[in-house]
Amino acid sequence: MQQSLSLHILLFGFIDETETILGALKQDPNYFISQCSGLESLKRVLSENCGVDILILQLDYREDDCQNILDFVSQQKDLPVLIISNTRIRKHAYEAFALGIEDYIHVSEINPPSLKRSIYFAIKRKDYKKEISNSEFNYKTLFFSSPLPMWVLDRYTLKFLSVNQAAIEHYGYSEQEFLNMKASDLWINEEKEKLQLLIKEFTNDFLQDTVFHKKKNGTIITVNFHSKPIFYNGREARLSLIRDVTENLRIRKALKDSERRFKSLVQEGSDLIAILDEDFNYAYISPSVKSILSLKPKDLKGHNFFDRMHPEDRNFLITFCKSVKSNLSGKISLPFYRVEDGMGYWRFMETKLTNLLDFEPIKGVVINSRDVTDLVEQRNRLSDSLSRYEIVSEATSDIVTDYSFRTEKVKISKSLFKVFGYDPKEVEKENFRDWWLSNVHEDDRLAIREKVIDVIESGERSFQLEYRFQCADGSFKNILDRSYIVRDKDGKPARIIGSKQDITHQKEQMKQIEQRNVKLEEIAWEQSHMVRAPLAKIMGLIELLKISENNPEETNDILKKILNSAEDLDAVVRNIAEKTYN
Amino acid sequence: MLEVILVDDDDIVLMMQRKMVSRCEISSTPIIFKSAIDTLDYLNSEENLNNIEKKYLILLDINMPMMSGWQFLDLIKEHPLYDQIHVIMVTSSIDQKDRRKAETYQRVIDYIEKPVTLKHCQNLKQLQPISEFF
Repeated sequence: MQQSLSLHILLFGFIDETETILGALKQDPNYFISQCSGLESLKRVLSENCGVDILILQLDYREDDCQNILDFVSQQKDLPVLIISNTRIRKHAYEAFALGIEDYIHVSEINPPSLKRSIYFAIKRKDYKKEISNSEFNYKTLFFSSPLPMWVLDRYTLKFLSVNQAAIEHYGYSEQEFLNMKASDLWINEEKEKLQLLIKEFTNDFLQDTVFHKKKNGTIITVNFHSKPIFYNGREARLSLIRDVTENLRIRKALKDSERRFKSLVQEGSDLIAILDEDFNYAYISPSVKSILSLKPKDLKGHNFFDRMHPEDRNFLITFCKSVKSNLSGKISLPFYRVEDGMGYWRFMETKLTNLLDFEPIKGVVINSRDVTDLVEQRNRLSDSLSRYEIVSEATSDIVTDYSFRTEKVKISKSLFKVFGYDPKEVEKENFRDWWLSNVHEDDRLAIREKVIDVIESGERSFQLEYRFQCADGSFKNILDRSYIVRDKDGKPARIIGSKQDITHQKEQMKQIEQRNVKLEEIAWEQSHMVRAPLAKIMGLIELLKISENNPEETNDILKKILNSAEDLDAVVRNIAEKTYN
Repeated sequence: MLEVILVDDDDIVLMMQRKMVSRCEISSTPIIFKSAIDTLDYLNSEENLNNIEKKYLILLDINMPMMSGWQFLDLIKEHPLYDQIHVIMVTSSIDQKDRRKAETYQRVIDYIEKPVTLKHCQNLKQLQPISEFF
């Protein structure tokens, strides 16, 4: 027999056998016994919380408030209760057990050892009940308070048997709505067939899959479920744990997209992107190197950044690049430099360096390069052509004017001063058209004016004029004016670009040539007339000589005449020579 | 009858031409003038103006002082004897312009570059407008 414990026993009620019971209890000196009677008195004693270990109810079922007493007692969750009844009606005993009463004894069974045993078991039974109740509570808490949606389904009909709070909150259905639904009501049409097959085939197996569910508000979510066959209230059921991975997937997809986007930016972009290690050796180089430098990434990998650089640029750039490590912002832009491409040509590059040596995923210097060869060449060409233009306008005596119809302003080259003695800066302030016309020789002015107006109105693009123009010193110079009219898209004149050439010198030369021509013509005339005349005479006289009869006097006369004519010829030739050389 | 007239400002030329035309039997007694003006005067003489039968063959120099051969040709255009006159231009010029200009005058039947040779004279006689006289 077990050791006696010190117990506080509350003996309630009064029946005929009370004395017997008390006597039995008092057999154990460790029992401390309190007695009370009446429901109110019981309530008071229990509320005083005086450490009652067990309540022994002596019930006389004939009493009126017997049921009330039983109801009250059954609410005392932590208190072991033992009923000692004087009735033998079995129903009362059943009812008592149903109410959670620990033991039910008939007075006839009372003797000190059996009562003691009953008291001990009642207390123990209460302890076990408490333990069971606690573990059930724990399990329920796990289920109902889980932050993840959980439910229990009928294994065959998939009817919801229980759902937790998270499921209710996540799916938007009330508990009652859930309990009237089947899990298949959450499925989307496209997956119904697949899931039905799955459930059918693996009815009694652990299931795990990712599926789409439709919430009450119609939103489709992607969920990952784990489902295990269990028995629930004696039914074949399945406990499912649901994880909504919609957001996860979205984030993962966004991450993947962004990764892909950056990758394609690096790989397909027109910029060359590379990562250099501490010693400026290529660790990574984007495939765009192929289109930019006609080189394959593997041709460069492991090689030094400065290897392909033009020797003239290299030393300077080495110093420059090293400064990226000490530069506070970690970023530097390199001046344009030349790199030898795969074809052996020099390409001009513009490069930005970013020091990411301390950034774990990169651990290097990121370079971002752009081919600027075209730009550089264009710039060089432009500067060449500009300086060429400057030289030409310095060298030529042509006056270049650029008149804008819109602003009525003009730009005049410096040669205006050289040719006419006017300061172009001063002239540019005047009304150019009036100023120009007023200096055209008055005999030419009207014709020139009409011609220019004609050309502008006719839509022609260029014209050429010759006229006399007055210099600052009052003298006139001959001008060849070649102008080009720039028209807008409607054909309206926008600008006149003119080149005015001083042809005074040419004019004078022309005059000299013309004079010389006159002289040459004179010579030619003299040759055909003056020379021919005495020559013809000589020829005629010789002819006569041939046919003359042998008359010495006549022959003599003819010979004398030949001599005279020869002298005439001589004189004419001398005259020609004199004219030619003067 | 055909009267031959030689017009030139140069005596030697006249002498040569006279000898040639006589040797070739074009005319044994050609009439000789040292200027175109004299020639005009001769044509304007009463006797000539009244003689509508007589034809003239004038060997005319171009370059002469006072009145050139061209001026002479222009002046006779209105002359009463115009149709009776045949002209042969005789010049020391070898300028083709002169030859072309001569062709524009209706009464000019030939153009000879000096000196006048026997051959010229022989050809002359074959010229259609005057061949009947030889």
